[in-house]
Amino acid sequence: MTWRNLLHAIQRQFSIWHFLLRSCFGSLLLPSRVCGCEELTTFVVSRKHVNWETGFVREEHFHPRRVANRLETSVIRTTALNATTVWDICTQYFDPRQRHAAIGRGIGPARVVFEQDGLSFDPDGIPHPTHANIVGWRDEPGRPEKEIKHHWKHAAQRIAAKFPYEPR
Amino acid sequence: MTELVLSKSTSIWPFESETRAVSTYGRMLDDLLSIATRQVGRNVQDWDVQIESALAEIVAECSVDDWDGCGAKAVLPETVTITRLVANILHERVPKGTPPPDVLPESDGEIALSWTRTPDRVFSISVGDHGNLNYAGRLADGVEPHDVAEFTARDPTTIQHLALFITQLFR
Repeated sequence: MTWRNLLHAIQRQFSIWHFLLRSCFGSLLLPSRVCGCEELTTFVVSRKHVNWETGFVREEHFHPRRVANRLETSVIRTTALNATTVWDICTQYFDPRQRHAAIGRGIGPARVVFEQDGLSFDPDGIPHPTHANIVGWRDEPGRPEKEIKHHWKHAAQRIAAKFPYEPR
Repeated sequence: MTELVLSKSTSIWPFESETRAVSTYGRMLDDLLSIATRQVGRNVQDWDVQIESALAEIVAECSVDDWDGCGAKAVLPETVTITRLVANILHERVPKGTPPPDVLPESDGEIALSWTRTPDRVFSISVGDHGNLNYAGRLADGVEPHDVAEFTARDPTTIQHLALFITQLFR
């Protein structure tokens, strides 16, 4: 068994464990680290962030924003949550902070984020225990964003290709 | 006959309506030609129409800060002008029939010109008011160019380079 297979086997074990925990106790017992096997949701507000021809969320939706001098992209961890619970979270925590309510969501694997150079998660659990930020976007102090943005586009394109859109 | 064909010089295929094939095979070719002509004509026209329409929408909706309710930067008139210029020059350099890009505002105030073939086959150029073009694409397995290039209207090298990527995407 190669190291990669071993790693995947461990991830699967943890994923089942996590699934059972969450099924029994809800999202409050989410593991402190995001597992590659987890399912992520990203809420979509603008129709422009959906490619209606392919049915996938667009790259632009995953471009990071600078918050407190850190580049991040907001997602929530929804592996064991049914659609009703996810939309309840959206209604309670996401929609009030937006000008418009979410029209749908993109759903994809956390694995694809880990596959991008330098990207990982900060599962801050704010404002909801399921919330996490994708962090580790390429940032070079002293170099303007207009010169490094292509790195973000590249990673965002690879992530977006794994996030099909689901209407609300 | 010849005079009639020449008089319709605006048509992409000058024989479009003047020739009528007799055989089944000929009629089939005629139909295919007609479909192809309409397709090419539509795409050529769509570049201008779609880009202008999308830019007008962006100007109307995204010209002030926080246009998305999440702190997005305003799209400046200079960005719109440069995007139009980039799209026009690209249009001249990609093969006929290349579909027009989707034109999308970005949260940092830039505008993206984006081509999609499948979810895994995309090419996108971000245009800002600074004259730098950030591009990234997934053209084939393992062919994923991304970089930043300086754009000047007088030097077509950059656009030529990008046009080749777009051509490759739809090859």
